[in-house]
Amino acid sequence: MDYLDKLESRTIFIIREAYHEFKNIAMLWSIGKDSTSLLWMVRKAFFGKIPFPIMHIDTSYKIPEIYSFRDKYAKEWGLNLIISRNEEAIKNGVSPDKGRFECCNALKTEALKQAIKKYKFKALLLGIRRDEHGIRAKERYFSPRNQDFLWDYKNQPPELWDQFKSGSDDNSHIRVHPLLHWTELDIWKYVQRENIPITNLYFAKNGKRYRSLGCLPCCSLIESNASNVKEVVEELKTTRIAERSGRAQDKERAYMMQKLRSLGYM
Amino acid sequence: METNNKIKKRKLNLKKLTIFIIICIIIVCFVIFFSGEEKMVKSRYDKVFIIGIDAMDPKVTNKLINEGMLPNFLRLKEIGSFSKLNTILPAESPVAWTTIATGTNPGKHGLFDFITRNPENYLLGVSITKQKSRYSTKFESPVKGIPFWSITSDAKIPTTIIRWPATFPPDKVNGVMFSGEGVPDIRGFSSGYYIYTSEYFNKDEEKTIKVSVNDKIINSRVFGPLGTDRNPIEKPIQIKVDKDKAIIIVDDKEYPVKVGGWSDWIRIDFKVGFMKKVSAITKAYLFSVEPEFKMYLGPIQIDPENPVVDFTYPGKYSNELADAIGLYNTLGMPEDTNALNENAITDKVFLGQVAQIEDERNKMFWYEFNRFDKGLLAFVFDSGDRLQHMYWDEKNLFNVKEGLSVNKDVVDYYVKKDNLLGEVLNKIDNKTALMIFSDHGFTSFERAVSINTWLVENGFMTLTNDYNENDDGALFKFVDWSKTKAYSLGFAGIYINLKEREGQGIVEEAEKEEIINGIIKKLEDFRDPKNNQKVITHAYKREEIYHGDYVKDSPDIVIGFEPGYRMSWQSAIGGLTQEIVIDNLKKWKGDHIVDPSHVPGVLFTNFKTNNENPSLLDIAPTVLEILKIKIPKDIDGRSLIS
Repeated sequence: MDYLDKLESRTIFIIREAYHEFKNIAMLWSIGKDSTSLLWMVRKAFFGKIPFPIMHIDTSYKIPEIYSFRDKYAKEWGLNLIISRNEEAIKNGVSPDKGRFECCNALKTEALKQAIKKYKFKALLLGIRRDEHGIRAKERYFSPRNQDFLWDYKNQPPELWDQFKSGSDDNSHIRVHPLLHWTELDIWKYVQRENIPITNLYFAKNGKRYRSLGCLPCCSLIESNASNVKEVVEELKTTRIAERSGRAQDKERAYMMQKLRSLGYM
Repeated sequence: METNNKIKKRKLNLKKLTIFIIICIIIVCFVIFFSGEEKMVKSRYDKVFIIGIDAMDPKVTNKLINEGMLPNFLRLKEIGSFSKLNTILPAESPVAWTTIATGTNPGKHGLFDFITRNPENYLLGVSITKQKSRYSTKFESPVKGIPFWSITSDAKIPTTIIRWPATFPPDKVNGVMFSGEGVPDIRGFSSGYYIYTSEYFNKDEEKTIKVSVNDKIINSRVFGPLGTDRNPIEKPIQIKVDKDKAIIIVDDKEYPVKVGGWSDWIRIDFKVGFMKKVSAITKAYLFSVEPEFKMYLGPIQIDPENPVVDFTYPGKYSNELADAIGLYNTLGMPEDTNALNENAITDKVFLGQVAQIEDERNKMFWYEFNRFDKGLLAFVFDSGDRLQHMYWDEKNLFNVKEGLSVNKDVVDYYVKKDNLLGEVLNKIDNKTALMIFSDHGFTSFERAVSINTWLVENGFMTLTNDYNENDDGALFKFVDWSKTKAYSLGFAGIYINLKEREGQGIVEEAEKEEIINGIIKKLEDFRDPKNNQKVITHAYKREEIYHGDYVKDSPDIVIGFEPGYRMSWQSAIGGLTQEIVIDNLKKWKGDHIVDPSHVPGVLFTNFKTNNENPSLLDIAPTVLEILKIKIPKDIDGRSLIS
């Protein structure tokens, strides 16, 4: 079996297991490359007919292309799409310039909470990955406590707070992470192989592209000339690893020093 | 007459016989009494009460007893016993307290230093706050031996252990356990603080947060748990200032603080992910509002009412305690010695912080004491260690004075412990065996020794070409492993760069012994260039001092310094200094990581002991014997009552 086939079959297995186990589930679709790939595999898992809803948390601040992409493919793929918005907060004018945390909390956390309550979902499928920073050692596909969503607004892997005792407000549902074992590069290779439609926000225009998608005000562009999937794959293959490992090392060093210094025995 | 004589004789015989019998009875009684003392001690007591006083020093104790300042310790000495308590190498709290807990040498319990190394990649770690893996937020105990509280718990004896060092995460005991030194702050560190100031600064930017006051309002941030990118999660805070006071606003809650005073506990909830929060507590001290704003924010600690990771067993005990005594410091070492050492706070602020910690520790103490009616209670006080680190007055090398000079705040601490003991002695019943002890004593820290620099100068370590003498080279930055035979890390250890054991080892097993012998010989001959004094009392091969399954993890050589000397901080974390021995000019001027012969602890008991020269190893077997539990064969110490 090809490497990507292995990754895919593992993911499809988890998707089916989750559905079998919980029945009343939903998948969160941010319209980004990861959750769109996940959606692709969910469709494969159920031969094109997904037996549960696909949910989009709409903060009303998403980049316009996201909305058009969403509506186009929801129709084309015949999705049972749930769009969740915290209408009250939007009406009250919650926005990122009043604080990113407050904004994310109201428009994402609250909107999702409301939806879970309304539809009584027992589990949610999420497209999070744990490839960067080599934290695979602690991977967990089914996590009753993992409530993280940071990947969506910051281009960084999820925190490991699920390892901690839960401090969550809502423990009534299980998070399922079928993409945990994929890397950013794997995803792009898969997108390329399967020819998965991806919003063109990921491709360079005037030397810049989005590397991750979220709300318009909180998303920043990276320098890049990769204007299609193939070029993104090439870019990630050549630049990413060397560049990151250097930075990670310095950070690790600083972290270690800070930790040792905190002992006080100077 | 004859009959009379006979009668007289018989009477005399009778008298002799009576006397003989009485003497016999007395002798038998004596024999029973003495031979049975052990049994009597055992049968007399049904409870063991341990008060640990970290770093209580015999020199200071003796001096203050002689000056009549510790009447209750004197009383305890007279009822029972008082002696020095031999400590262990290296004489560090985590190693020493674990040795006490297990009754075994470090070779059996596996904890050898604050600082550990990964032999594969020479990366350093902190032993007492041990992550399960590099990015994990789960922790595991560094201790591999069996502490006495596990044995008493297995024997179904009620067991309460409060703030014992190196017990994080807490063990499951038959009762409660509250972990001591090793419990991290919200970032996983041992300490940390921030200074918020509008002053111009060019100091440690990591810890100084520049603020500006606009319309009497400061908008700033606090920093919480670290993400996997090692960046902290932030939270906005607002500070409203007035002439001599400020109000800190977090999550719409207001915390007033006056200039020259402390705030109450401030609760901060950090959003760490989707629908997840980590709750933390901290306290602020306000230095000034005008002309410049300056505020100290203490360690941001795990919230005992909503602990993100359990530091007590059972987990709900942390809440129970908060219900009983209010919010409290949860950090293993909440006394902010770093802030004082770095001149971020004044003595007044530091001592105020220590007083608050002591106050809450006393509340915890009485909370547990008042409900202690069976089994085992062990309670550790450790602020005295921090006070002595910062305020130790004795000198051994330079400016040596006649007699022992003891700082007033240190004296106060000992006196307060004496007052506490007075109350305890009045309250405990005669079924309680009381033991009070320390893990080590104290000495001065005047000169810092960089063993790594010594190894370079003596040809055992080679540096790379990019070595830059303005960089301390921490974490072995400039070490050329392909030409290095030995390296030092932690506060006492030297490791041979052994082939197949170390990631880039070059020393063959066959040449190891010779190199070790060479290093030891040279180290013991080494003299401080400044005063030509011997620096190292002894350097030990690990097999000389440790035995057991975990000796393999210990340094190959363990150094016992002379009083006045300690491993330099730079060398402890794998770095270098320009000279081998440098002056310690820091406020941190007392220490105890020297040869154990110089820094014994103390032992007080309310019963007679059988050994005038006890050691840390003897505590655990004594506890078990008093509680009538069979002492495991693996224990190295001997019961002090048998």
